Amino acid sequence: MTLQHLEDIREIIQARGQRASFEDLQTYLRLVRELKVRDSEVVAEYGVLLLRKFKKQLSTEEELLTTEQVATAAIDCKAFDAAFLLVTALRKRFPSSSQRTTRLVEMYFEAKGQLEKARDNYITNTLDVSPDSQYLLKRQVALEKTQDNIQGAIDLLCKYVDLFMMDREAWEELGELYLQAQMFSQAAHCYEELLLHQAHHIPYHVQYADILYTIGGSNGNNFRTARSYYAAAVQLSKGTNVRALYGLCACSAQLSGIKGSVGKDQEELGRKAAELLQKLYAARSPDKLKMVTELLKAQGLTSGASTSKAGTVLLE
Amino acid sequence: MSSQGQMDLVLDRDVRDWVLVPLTISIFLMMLIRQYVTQVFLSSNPSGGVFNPKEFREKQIMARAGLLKQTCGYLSDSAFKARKAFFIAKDTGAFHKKPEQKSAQDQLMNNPDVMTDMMKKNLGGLVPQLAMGGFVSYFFSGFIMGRIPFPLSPSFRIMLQRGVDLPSLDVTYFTSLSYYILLLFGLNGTFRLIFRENTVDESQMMRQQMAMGGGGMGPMGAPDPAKAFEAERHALEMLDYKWKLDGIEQQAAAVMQQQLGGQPKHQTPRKSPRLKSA
Repeated sequence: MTLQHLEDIREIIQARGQRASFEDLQTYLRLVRELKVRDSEVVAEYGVLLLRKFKKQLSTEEELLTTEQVATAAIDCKAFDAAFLLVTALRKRFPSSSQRTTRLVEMYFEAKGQLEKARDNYITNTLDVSPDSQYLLKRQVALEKTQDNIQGAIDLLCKYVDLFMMDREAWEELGELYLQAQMFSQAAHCYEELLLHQAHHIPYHVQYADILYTIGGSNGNNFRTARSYYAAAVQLSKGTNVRALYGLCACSAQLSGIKGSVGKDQEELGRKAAELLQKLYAARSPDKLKMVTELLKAQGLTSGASTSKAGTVLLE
Repeated sequence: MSSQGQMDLVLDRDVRDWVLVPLTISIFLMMLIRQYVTQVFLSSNPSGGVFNPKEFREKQIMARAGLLKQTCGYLSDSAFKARKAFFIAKDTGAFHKKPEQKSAQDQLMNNPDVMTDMMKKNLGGLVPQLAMGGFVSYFFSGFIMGRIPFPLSPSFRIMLQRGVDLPSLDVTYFTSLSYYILLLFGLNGTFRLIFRENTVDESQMMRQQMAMGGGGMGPMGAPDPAKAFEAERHALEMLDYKWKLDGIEQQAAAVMQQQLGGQPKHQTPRKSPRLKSA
């Protein structure tokens, strides 16, 4: 039940083409469902094949699951004819009140670019029947996002998060939306929530530090906090996270302008990060080394000595 | 085993034809009917599945507070305080509000539906059983139907020889009434084979009712939400906040030093201490 298994089955089906066996197709689609893989073109192709040839052999439950899956995949790769048939079939079976069909219908219209229709469908079905459906609320946010209505999406997602507060992915999405809208302190709040959920996830540390750094401020508090989170990211990644290293350099550069905030150790931190950055660039991407050195020199974190040292590394 | 002095009883063949077989069939039929009736009842009122957003939100708040308690060390001081305020600030804090969620007791008191539902379920189990008991004792009582192939102590007499009051009869013989009771409780396994998971389990229901009557807990075993809120509030007030990223800079410096592989300039390289996992 791994990705390798999935890959194997896909190859078998591919080799057989139209004569693929029922079991293989069924297993493939089931694995895609379970592993939550997004491979829409293949799923749509094989799913349609399965539903055309072997519909009778599937149990009712699996038939419905497969239909939904294939319909979603077809919508995803804009195969609207196939999608239309599948969605109508499902809708006939579960008229109006089903959240899942409502979601599918909405996705269909949204993919076709008929946003008004999608919205109407959503409003008539959701607000009356199931105003608190997790499924549909999320779809609505996505719909706003498609329309580039960031503020609208934020409002909806705030409402959503107020109810489903333990939904980590929703917090992440909300954080990204706030960043797009350049509302940094709100975004910071979202990323704090994410840190609560996964305190050892390096990208969250880096992103949160980025936000704090962006907020900035003249007293340097945000820079100091940001530096701590960058340092945590460096420590967690064993110094391989380049973005965090850049962050440390930038923080040090900012803080050096603020009095009374730089201890001996802290100064050391920036210099070490700069040195490590140079070393990493020398090893992996030597042609950019010069650019990086210039930047670091501008930040006052590197001297001629370390440049020559990096140069020797380069020569080796 | 019959004792030395006793003769084995010879049972009339008519007992088999007119008692054993009809009794078994009627029990089976009755259980079938009960099964279907309960299914109809259950499907006609799908209670309990209604999504209540307010209650759900409260549960989520509890979970979120738990999360905060666990990993608050990774938040900066101000962020932690803001969250703490969200939960326990005076008057506005989430845990100062009166919980929407009703305790099990309140639910029973205030919601007549719950009561009637329980009544229905109980009656649904009880009425056919009473009727069947009357039916069996009217038509089939007083017959000896068979014999258990292993010896038993005399105290089993009450269980096995219901309806026949003969002290001299060997304990291993059982009567029709006892047979009925045995089947009533013993056929569950057979029914599960036929209906898979939807079988109405009599003994399960009984156990549930016992548990309900016994403890002060509700039917779900859920504690009183008002008290849970109170407890959570106190826990958050007492929470000892300590920033885990204190000194992380030195640790990061040590890590970088290690990566650089160079000789330390100011301090001896420490073996990089790790963040303690939450």
